[in-house]
Amino acid sequence: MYAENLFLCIIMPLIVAFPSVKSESRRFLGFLISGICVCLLSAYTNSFFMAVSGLSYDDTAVFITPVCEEILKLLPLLFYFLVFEPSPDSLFSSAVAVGVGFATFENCCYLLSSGAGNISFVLIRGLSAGVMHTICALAAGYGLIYISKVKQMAAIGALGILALTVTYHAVFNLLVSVEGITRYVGFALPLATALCWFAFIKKIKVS
Amino acid sequence: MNINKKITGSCVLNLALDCNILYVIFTKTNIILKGSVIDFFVLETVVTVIQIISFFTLGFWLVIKSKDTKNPIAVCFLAMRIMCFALGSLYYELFYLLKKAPPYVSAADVAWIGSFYFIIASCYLLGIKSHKTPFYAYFFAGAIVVVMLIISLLYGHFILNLLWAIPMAVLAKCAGEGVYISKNEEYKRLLPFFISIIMSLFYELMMFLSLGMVYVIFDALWTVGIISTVLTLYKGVGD
Repeated sequence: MYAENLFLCIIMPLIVAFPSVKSESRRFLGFLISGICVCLLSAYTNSFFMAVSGLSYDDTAVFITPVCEEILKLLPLLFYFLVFEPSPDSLFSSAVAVGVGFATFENCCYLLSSGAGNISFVLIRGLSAGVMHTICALAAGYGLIYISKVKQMAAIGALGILALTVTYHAVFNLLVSVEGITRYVGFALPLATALCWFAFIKKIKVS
Repeated sequence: MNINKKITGSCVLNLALDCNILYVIFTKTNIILKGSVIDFFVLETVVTVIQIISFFTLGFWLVIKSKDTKNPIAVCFLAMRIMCFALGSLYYELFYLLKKAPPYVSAADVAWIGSFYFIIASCYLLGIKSHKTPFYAYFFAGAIVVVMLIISLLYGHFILNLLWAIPMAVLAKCAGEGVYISKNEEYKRLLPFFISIIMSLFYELMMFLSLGMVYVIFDALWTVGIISTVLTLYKGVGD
């Protein structure tokens, strides 16, 4: 499969649309594009580390992929956060855009390589890995919003947030790497986390 | 009362409290009373599961309650610390159960090491940064570095141990500074929190040095130590 061709195909209309939209929409689109770029970059880094370490595909997914992907996903957000000092709302929507861009491109690659004929596979893919990337980006966004209240803690806080997202991603990859009931638990994990997340945020806002 | 006596008293109280809670947990679950041979793996799993559940519960509780405190961000950082640690433990336990072997360097280490950064941030947010560093803060930090160096020499894995040692030493220094500033009336209520941090660091070091059942006991003591850290901070910054 030629991921680069797919990348060009998806990104071209977005790049053409980029100058024609303004302010919030432009920023969202920009981060969506950066999410897609980051996904392609992470595919390269994962392949590189897999070749260097000599690990199998499954072991790479459990040990290396979460670290590479989460670091690369955090980088555009961290850059935006440190250089432009955005408002919490802008930071949050940017985090969502990075997560969605990443998940979209990854889903496209998987569907192209494994086929899109089976609706249950497509749904599982969309609701598990797709949601998982968005959840991790949301967590990173929320974490950075917290850090923005105490700028001197930026470096320390960013390391902590990275650790959180990497581990969550690794738990998901570990669960889906094993056959049987565990895999289904893994598939359900992101959606369950998303539901808990929204319920929790609602509870905090109410209280 | 002299501050040194207070600190010693707090340490002894903390240790006694930890041991007492542990004893109650063991006796209530009839693990010791039955007198049967306890399977190490089962006991370790039970302790870790208790740890994960209690940490997640406490984390969510702390985030909800943080608004009622004087320093909500510091409390939220501590909540993130324990949830990050629990996530690491969850990964480790799942890996152990699914792959039938403990992982070498994995995401669990990333989470456990990363969780220290949250509590360091929490300590700095409590205002210890602007004060003088006492000699014993350097002593705590130095002791951790020395112990980790010995562990590296004995068991290898130098880089991994270094990654553990850096945040642990920084945290020990922060806790030492915290104990020092607790002389001030303003910070007096935070003394138990800083003592709890030192005690949990001590348990953690002992976990590095121990094996088998001793490890499980220190793991359980450490869990209780972390819970007391949470409760003492909440009490310390509460209205």
